[in-house]
Amino acid sequence: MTAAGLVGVAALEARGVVVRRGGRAVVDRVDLAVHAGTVTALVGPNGAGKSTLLSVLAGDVRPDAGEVVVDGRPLGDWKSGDLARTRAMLPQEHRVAFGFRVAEVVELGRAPWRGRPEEDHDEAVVLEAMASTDVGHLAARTFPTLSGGEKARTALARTRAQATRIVLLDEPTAALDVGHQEAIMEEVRQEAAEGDAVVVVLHDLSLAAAYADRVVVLDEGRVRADGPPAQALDADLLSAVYRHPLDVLPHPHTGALLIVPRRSQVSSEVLP
Amino acid sequence: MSAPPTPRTAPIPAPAPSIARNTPAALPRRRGVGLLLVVLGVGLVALALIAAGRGQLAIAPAEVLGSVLDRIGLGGIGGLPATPEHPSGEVALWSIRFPRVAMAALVGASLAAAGALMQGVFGNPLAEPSVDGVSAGAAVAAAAAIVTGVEAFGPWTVAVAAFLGGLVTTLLVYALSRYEGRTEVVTLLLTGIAVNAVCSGLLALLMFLGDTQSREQIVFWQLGSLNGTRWVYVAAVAPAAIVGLLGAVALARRLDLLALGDRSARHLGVNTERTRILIIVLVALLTAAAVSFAGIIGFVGLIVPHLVRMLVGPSHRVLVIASALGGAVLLVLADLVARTAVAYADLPIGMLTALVGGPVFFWLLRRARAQAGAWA
Repeated sequence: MTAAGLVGVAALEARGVVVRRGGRAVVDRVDLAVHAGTVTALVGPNGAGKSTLLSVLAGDVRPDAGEVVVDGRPLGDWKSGDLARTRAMLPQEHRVAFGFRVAEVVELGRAPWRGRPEEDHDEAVVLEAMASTDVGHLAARTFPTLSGGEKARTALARTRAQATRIVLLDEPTAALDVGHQEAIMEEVRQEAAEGDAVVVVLHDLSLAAAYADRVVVLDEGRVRADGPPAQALDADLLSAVYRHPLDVLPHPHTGALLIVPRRSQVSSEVLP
Repeated sequence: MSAPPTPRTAPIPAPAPSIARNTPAALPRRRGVGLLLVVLGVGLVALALIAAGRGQLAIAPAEVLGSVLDRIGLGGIGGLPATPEHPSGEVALWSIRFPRVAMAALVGASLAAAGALMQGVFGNPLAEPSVDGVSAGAAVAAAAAIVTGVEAFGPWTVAVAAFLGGLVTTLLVYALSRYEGRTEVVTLLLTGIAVNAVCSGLLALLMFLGDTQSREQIVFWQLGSLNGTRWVYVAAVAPAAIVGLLGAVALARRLDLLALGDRSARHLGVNTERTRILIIVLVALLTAAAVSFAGIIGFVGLIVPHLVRMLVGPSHRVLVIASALGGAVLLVLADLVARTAVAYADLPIGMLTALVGGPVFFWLLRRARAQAGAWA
């Protein structure tokens, strides 16, 4: 389960991926190579093609052109069981039919390991996944009774329990409060430090700047920028892409990048 | 990056204190699973022995047990009599009562397991063969086989027709009620209404076309009854029911993954399309097994899995096994009531399950609505 022997080979690669919907290319000739031990953030406005690209990487959507390669092998050549032990995916929506308990939902992430030696560690892995996503205290609660943020963290715990080297996360922080956002992104960083290749769709640009090794800015299906946060998160580019003026500022004390929208002062005048 | 450290504005918050919130030392386990299975298993055997002894000719449970032990080569154990005291007792037991009890158990197990499978594959706790019209579809096909007098499969023709009817109807209901990868409650129930309406129209047509004898047979179905069950019928139903039940147990774990939605199930290595097709074939097989000789017996597949879920949770492996046992218990009991409640009369068992099941279904609807906040 180490990345040894894979040095130089991208864990996950999109080559010239095109997805057309209703005559329009929602993903347009995207090349992306993701390496082990890194966090890659996909950012961009609504409809930029972030989630579609992630679906292509996960194998949910077959590209109209181009291909996805996992560990040097085209996605289509993978057996579903092997693939499930190699990459995990956190979808945007978290639905579970019937009243499964949180611990039971997280345990479902161990399904690909059934009948293998790793199965012996199921309980420890599940407990660890629940602890790292802060759902341990909810273990005996049923999924439908959880709040949005709790559901999101349980779903994330499930992908953690799957223990894969490639992790695709579609807006893992969307429903979370600030504290949990930071904690989850810390956890994502930790996964990468352990050698996983992580691709994460984020809306919060400052979060991407703080936790990603590499930021890919998408707009209208195309890659507009790709590189380290300081390079990819360019104020002019972002302002153009988001159709709104944005400032990229260094944090006064830490120098960390902060991306803030420029706001008119009118709104403050109506306040007493 | 310039990073003058100031205590007031730490760059990254200290590892969230919430992370340390009490994580249990072990995974919480559902309790009572083993107990439930034992209670249902023992209950089924005990109930079968009691039920076989009840009727116009009463035979004590000890005599029934003695007769069973004698037949399986364990006669005389515990000083039990090898045959009932009553001269006709042995015949009544083995040619009338036991086939009927066995059929009730098979039909109940098949219906409840089919319900659990359907609910799993639709991801919806209100799916059930009689609610969705699958039972009706199977009955229409079987009625058509009777009325037309087709004998393509000899004595199996009616059962085969029921299977095909059930399969086609299940596929139809599935195709009609799925929208964007999920089945909404309202869509499912409305589909059921439409399918049931068409099927009752077709049944009416077949009854109109049929002769008196086939008409009687069709009426007998719609009411649902185990009256007149013979071993040969049991032998016809048993293979389908057993294959269906074993298949259901084999696929149960995958149903747990389907509860996460198709996409997540696929990411966890499940071939969702193949799994769904297999389950639909199993549902048709189980429904046909139940319908072909016993007729339409509603609500068993709805109530039993629901009660099991309330007791031991939704994990499908336990759910399928416990539902099959529970369905068998329920139907053996219902059939006992059907043939003993009114002296010298055999009530239609489908009427009984509908009378009890209808209100329970209503209660489930209310409950589902209260939990969902609104119809999802």
